[in-house]
Amino acid sequence: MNQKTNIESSYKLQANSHKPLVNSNLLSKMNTENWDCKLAVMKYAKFVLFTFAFFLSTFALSAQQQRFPKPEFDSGYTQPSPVTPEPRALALEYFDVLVLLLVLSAATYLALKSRSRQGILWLSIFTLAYFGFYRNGCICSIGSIQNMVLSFFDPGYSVSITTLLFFLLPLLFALFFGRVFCAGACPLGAIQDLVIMKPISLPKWLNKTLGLIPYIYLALAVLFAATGTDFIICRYDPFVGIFRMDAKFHMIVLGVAFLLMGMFVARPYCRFLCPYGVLLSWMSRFSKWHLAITPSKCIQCKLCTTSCPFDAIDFPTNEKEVVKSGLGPKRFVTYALIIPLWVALGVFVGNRSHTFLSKANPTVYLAELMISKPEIKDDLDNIDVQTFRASGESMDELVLEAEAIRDKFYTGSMIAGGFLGLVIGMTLLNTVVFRKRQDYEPHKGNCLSCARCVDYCPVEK
Amino acid sequence: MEKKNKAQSRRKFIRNGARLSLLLSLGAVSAAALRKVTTDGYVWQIDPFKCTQCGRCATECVMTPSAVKCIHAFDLCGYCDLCGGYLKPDANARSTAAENQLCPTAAIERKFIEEPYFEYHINEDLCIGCAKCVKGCTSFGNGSLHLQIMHHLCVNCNECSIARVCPSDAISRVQASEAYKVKGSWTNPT
Amino acid sequence: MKNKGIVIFLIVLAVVIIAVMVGDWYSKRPDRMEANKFEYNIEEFRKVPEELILFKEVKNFRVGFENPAGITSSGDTIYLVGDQKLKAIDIDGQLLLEIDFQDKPTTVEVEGENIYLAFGKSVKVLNRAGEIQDEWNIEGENTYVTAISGKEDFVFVADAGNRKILRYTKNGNLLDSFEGKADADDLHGFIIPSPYFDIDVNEYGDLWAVNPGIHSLEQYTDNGNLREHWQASGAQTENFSGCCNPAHFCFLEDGSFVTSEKGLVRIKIYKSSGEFLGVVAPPTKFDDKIEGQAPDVAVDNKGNIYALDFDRKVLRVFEKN
Ligand code: SF4
Ligand code: SF4
Ligand code: SF4
Ligand code: SF4
Ligand code: SF4
Repeated sequence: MNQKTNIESSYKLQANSHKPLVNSNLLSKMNTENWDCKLAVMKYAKFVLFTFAFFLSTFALSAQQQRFPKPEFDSGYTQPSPVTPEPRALALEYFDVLVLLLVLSAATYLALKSRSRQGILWLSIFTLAYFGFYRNGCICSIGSIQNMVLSFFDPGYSVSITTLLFFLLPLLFALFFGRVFCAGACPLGAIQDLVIMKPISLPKWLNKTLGLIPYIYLALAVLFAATGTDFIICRYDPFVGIFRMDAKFHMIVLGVAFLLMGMFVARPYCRFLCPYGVLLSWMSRFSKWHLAITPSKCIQCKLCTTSCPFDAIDFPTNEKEVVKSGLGPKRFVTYALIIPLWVALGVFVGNRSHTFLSKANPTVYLAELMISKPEIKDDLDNIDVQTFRASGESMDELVLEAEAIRDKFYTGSMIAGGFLGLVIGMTLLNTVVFRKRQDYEPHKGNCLSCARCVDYCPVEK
Repeated sequence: MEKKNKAQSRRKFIRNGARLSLLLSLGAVSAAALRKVTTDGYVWQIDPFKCTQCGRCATECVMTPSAVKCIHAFDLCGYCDLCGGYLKPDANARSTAAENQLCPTAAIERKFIEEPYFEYHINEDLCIGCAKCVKGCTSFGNGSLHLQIMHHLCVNCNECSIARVCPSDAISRVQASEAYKVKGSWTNPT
Repeated sequence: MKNKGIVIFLIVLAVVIIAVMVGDWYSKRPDRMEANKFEYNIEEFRKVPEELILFKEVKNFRVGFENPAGITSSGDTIYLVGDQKLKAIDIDGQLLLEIDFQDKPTTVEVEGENIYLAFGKSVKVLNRAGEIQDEWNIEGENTYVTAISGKEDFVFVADAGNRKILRYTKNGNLLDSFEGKADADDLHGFIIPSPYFDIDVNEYGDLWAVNPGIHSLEQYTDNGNLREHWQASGAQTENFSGCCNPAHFCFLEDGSFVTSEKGLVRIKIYKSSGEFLGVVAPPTKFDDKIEGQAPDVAVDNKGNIYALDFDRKVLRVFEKN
């Protein structure tokens, strides 16, 4: 009859809907067979809802705008129009792509051809000024991963050409020339590069373990972007606040902490967090041309061994040690065979954690909150709950929506888990693979093409 | 020596193959994205009809003060003496003294036009986007005051940090060519 | 160890970084975010002391309109308009009459043997049986009729769009119109910022009109001379809040006003002199919405007050305590 009772009763309903959400783990398992059909139904329902909402909103609009004639003025007053300053011109966005292309080419030239550390340094200062302080760090190639993912999963969103190019160009360059993007075109890399003071060399195991974090970060970023939950890469970009010279206090703390750390651990964000670095290193590993330490032939002078602040120089293989350590084909076979186990473990962990992860989604969180704490609906200070109540959406609809999102997390986290399992397995496998190496060479995946080592090599061309 | 050469060329072959497949996968990803790529850029926009004036636009923007400002749809305005967005609810003496003004930063300027009409104008430099006046105007007036993201101030974050916490999902990505959703374009189109 | 100091420093930084990230992750959640610092606070005005509330809600009817529009009463019959319909019900909610129209009526008034319905730019006259007698069109681009009221010889039509009251004879001849401008007075005619402009004639044949832009009720002679007025501005219970209030009003038998406000929705009664008497329905009785609409009000011959609640789409009946 009146709305109060309506709200009351929907709260009762909510008590029943409690179960499915909490047990959705179970539920979705049972539902995997009719997964497709369920999805289709959901999509259809969504479509209907959307069109409905669309009509409603247009109706509300016209009703609002035609509301009432405004006063007639006798004094010749002319009514001003609201001022709406234009966003940054599109042409400038395209110009940014051009700048990126030029900077990438310059970095390639400087790293591979003229082999000039000086040049790279100046280039990164330009990058810092342009993409960092002038363009305020947005949009960057690192964050564009999320835009790409979102465009695949959200039918209502499509990437813009500029974003696509920002995503693609550095990867293409990496595929042919190594990570020249990191050397000269990434503002995040540039700011960290400038603060390197006294880099300490990390133990190998630590380097490898921390090196797994970017994979986790990448997997989470993709998962959250695909479910339309959050853009964590942008949210936790430590330097963007510095570029804008305006941010919440804790984000400034984050940025400063990374910079302080960067004085002793060179480029900590690049090596132990950057998810785009993962993609770049995949590409760079197979790059056709890559920066080499020596211009012609390595004379084993060992002068460059300590030159790389990123521990990215591979030493020649010490065959004796390899034999002594007993790491042979046997190990290799075992490690290769347990990779499926790692993957299975990853899938399992993903499956276990999908409920937890899905709470990152505001809709799921709100639904859970209102179920677990029904009394919160009386908390007038809780903006989200009060807004939801005033929206007229019923608790059932919210729970339904939350469950649909959680379903996505269910598959998503298992895939992400499997991927991480594979990465761990492969990393372990890599520790027992020995490529014969006679010279000092940059590790193509990890080398940032900064050209520091080049200056140490005494060999003339 | 020959063996070594063989090994080397094999390695080279594998590398070339891997590079080609990476190239192809990059191509596939971009082709998939290209199918519905747009040539326009994106910006963030507030739908004033969805906004519930929660106050987070003032506190959550990465910029200080917020890039969200109040704008005035003069078309909808009644030019009232008793402006619900300008005066505190209990201000019965219709005076413009600071203690009677609703806006926490006194960003709304009132100008007498003719008996009995007043024009209200937002001073953008002072407005912090708190939506207090919007609530007042929407509840008691014609709803002509409303919030918009001002794009000369907004740095166009890849993810707007207000959108993330907006309780009414009023903020969304839109094409840059239609950056604003201004209420009441009735007599003054655009 | 060589770089002990540095290592400790690095560990501290790592802890800071993790703490900031995790802290931020957990802070922006509905149950951990702070309340609105800039709340537009009318809570204190929503509370009304018990002793001021003179009426209680005794029953309510579902009116069956998607968009209710107006209400009026005559003796023990209640007339309602909404959607594209006119309905008449008795005080028990029995449907007596239901008539369909092509257009949406905006307001209804019953005077003598006639029912007057406004349709934005026109007025239809029906007899009590619901047969159409006459139709008057009102010229003007901005015409928007929000209220009609009649006495023995005249019918007054409130045109909110042109900010005028029009006077008609019973058979539809326009006699004159006035904008409420009065000499030797600081009132400046009707200020109508939004489509709320109500008029009514009381038991003694006096025409009263709301001047919503200045929160006043004004009494006019038949040809539009201001006789008296009273004003009450402010959000406090005894005043009219916001703008365009009272949005609706009607009279009790003794000539007191029943007023209804939007925004801070409440129904109150005032003496004909403007003295505040008490509250019929406090704001807490209505949905706490952003744009709370003012219920249209009517009074039956027993002194019960009927409020047509547009938000809940019900007719609510209030009886004196
Ligand atoms: S690793 Fe990431 S942050 Fe570092 S320079 Fe490369 S892209 Fe930029
Ligand atoms: S070019 Fe590569 S290997 Fe050489 S110092 Fe830079 S990152 Fe290290
Ligand atoms: S956060 Fe959303 S609801 Fe709150 S004021 Fe901003 S647009 Fe409006
Ligand atoms: S009340 Fe808030 S939103 Fe309105 S003008 Fe003042 S600062 Fe801006
Ligand atoms: S996109 Fe960024 S700058 Fe613009 S309104 Fe949102 S948070 Fe503020």
